[in-house]
Amino acid sequence: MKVKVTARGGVRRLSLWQRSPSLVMGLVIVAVAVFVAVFPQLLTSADPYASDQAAMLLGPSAQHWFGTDNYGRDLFSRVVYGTRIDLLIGLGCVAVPFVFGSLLGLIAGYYGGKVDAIIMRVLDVFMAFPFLIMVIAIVAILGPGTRNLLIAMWIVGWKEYTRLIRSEVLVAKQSEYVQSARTMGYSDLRIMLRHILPNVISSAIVYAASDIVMCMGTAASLSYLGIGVEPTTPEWGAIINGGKSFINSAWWITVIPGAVLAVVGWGFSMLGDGLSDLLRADTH
Amino acid sequence: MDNILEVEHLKMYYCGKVETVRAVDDVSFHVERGETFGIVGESGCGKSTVCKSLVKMMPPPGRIVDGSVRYNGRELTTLSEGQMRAVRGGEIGMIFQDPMTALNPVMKIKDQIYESLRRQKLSKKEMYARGVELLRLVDIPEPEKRMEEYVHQFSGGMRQRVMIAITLAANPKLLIADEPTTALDVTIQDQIIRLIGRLKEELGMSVIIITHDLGVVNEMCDRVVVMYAGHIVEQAETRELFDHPMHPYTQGLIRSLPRAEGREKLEPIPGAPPNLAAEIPGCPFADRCARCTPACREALPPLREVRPGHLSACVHDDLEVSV
Amino acid sequence: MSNTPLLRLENVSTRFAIPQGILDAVRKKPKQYLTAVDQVTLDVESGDTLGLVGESGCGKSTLAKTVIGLYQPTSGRILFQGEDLAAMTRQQRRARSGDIQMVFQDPYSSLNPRMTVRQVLQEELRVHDMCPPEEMDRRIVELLEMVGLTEQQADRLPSAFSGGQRQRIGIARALALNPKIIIADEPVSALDVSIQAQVINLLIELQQKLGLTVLFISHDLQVVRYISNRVAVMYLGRTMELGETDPLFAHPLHPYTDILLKAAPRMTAEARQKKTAAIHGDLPSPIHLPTGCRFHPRCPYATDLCRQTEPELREVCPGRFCACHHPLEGGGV
Repeated sequence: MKVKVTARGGVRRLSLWQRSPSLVMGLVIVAVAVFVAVFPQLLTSADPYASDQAAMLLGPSAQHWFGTDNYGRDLFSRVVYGTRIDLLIGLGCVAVPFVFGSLLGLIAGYYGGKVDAIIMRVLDVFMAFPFLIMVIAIVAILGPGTRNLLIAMWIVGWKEYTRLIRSEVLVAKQSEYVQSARTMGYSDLRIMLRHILPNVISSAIVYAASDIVMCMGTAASLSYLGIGVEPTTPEWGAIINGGKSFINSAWWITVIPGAVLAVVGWGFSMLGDGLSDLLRADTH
Repeated sequence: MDNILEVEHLKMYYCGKVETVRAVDDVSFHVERGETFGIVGESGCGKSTVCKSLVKMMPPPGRIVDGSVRYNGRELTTLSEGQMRAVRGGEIGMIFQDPMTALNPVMKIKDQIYESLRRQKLSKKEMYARGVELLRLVDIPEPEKRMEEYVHQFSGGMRQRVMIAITLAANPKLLIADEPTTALDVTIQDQIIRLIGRLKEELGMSVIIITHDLGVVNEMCDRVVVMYAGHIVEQAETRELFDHPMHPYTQGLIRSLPRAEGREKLEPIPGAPPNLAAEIPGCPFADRCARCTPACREALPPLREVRPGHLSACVHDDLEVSV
Repeated sequence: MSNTPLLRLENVSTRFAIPQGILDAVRKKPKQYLTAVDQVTLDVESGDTLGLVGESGCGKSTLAKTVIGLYQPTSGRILFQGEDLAAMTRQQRRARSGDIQMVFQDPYSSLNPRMTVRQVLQEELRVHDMCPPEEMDRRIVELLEMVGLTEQQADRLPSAFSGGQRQRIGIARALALNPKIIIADEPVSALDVSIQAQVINLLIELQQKLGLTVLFISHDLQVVRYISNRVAVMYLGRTMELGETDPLFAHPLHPYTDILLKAAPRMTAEARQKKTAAIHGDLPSPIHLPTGCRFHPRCPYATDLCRQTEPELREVCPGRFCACHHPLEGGGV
């Protein structure tokens, strides 16, 4: 729990809910999603891959909560098992660019000059291509599949982190606490990692939360386009793609996974929003 | 002499979600027509907040909880936002500490002056002539050339002059200057102080100066109030205040400044100002005051006349000490 | 005066190139420079408190940052105990960084907002191997008490402290490495008057107790007068006047010093009567300096000589230096 110390030394506790309601709601949604991803077997006994010719395109019912698809697979269990895949894709797509991009931004901002110029010109090249086109091109070269999808997202995802962190470092570098660290004779590495990074990383963390949503959306759209994960995998985008031919007769195949994707995405956005509230309030 | 502004029992609180900050707590004063009135105090004492609430420009969640502000006998606290805007851009003008942020960087100086002349329905030619006249009035050399320039082409002192010119365009009768010289160098500060003094005389304005600098108060103001923790603790004519400071806080402030004459040891006021979100039953200065007695902590001492025309909010008598 | 002062600046200049646009570079336009510090020569004796005073843009802060090594001087020598700091490699310089320490201006931005006071001091002592681990806590308490803070406050983040307390933390941090020289860059100008006096008194007390040498930078003449025993007045990168505090304030020789003294708002009765400003005109741009004496466009006593020839800083009487062709006789005030 955060404690707010008043000028007279009195201590006043604020609940997390008071400090940032959107953070709490985001946390709840994300926690539920993580729980589902870790323990899918607790929620459903049905096999997400098992097709049942007798139960094709059934609407939502007590037996099949989300209905069944055109192969008679239970949609609820497919959505539940898909949570793990989608969360892993979301986190996997973000983790590598977050670390790599932030470090590049830190180096570019701190050293400036030629180092900065080189990193930023390379970045400009990547910025010149539209995000989705580039992902599709890379996947087209490497071939479809979860691993290649991740690699494609890594290649295009780092630049935002670099730009964000670099601009924050440029500001932090001028601040007196960094100058004072330099007058103490600290090494560049120490100043960068211990004095600058903790003060600039919050914006990247906030961005990462919304980036996860974007990555999940991109992964789903690629699956929908048929170049993401293998079609049989219970991934939300793939499920939606599978249902598109039946949209008039069996709306639940597309609408329900779509709604789940939207809610989880909303959860991550609110988490990012709440984090930025909290981190901003933290130092003031 | 009559009063151009009368403030009575003004209370401006920041009513936040978790706490209420009593930024201005029961403040009364008046400004006489044609005088320069000073409000002095340290940061967080409420001096700026008072002036922002006079023209209802307090940032949220600030609210005027109680009290009245009368300008030429007209109540301002009950005006609508639209009526208030006419007062702000008209009879009451304001200048701020940082002219760089108060001026628009992408507009030519002349266009910014035209903006504040708009209400007067002048022709283009008249506006130009008036703009040049205003810049000349505030001692800007080559006003015709300067009209076409942008803020970044002006030095700090020149920017403050431009700011004053823009404010004067609306012919204000009352000028509120919030730390007008704090961001400036001493030689430039000196120039701006003289400029405001001269303009006041020439244009027959009344001026409110808000500052933390006792030297500025001494050089500019006819009368002054000292604020501490949202309250007025002392009020007097300037000469009287410096010759006979009566409140322990005012005395402490003067003693913590290095004197021009010699090297007497500075006597700082111990501690720091109180938190305005907490309820303070007695005198807000009690915790830092060397003369604090149990009586000080019981009730807020009212302002009372301790010498002719000199008010102080301290329960003690025999306060006069040489400082 | 001994032959080797603790700190000696010899013709130190610090120049910055003005960033050029691509178009200017293509057209081979000559690069423009801003000379923030121009040929400054100063001696600081051990135990001195030297006040550096001047308006914004006079180079006082740049000079401080050049001495501490945040900027590299363009020319000149910075001799600390006879060794030239400017000629050292970064490694050598780093090893000497404990000898000269700095107190910064802004108590709100000079502390890392995510490190507690204890972490700040610990890191410093550890990096420089100043203190064995078992002594660490004792040393930190000692430092905190020296600046008037308590042990209980050690584990708080900077956001829990007021401006005055933060400045005390800044001083504790500067003292941790047992420096010989403290450079204080406007250490009290961000503080309220009543708090300002607390910090000034603390600095004086520490200076006397620890035998420190202090380079005190401020725009506030009265504060400089109070704390320093010698004063250098700077204008647009140059030293205009240098001497013992009391005679300099009582009888300024340089017209600029005189005007600075007259311009500062004071609390005296005479100041209330004053109707005209002490000086007209603005500071010239430091990129396009005036010819001759850089003060001549604003100087009431300027002659043709001043407009053509730049005056050297010369010793007018023992210990008293002034860069003016026509020093005021017997002082101006």
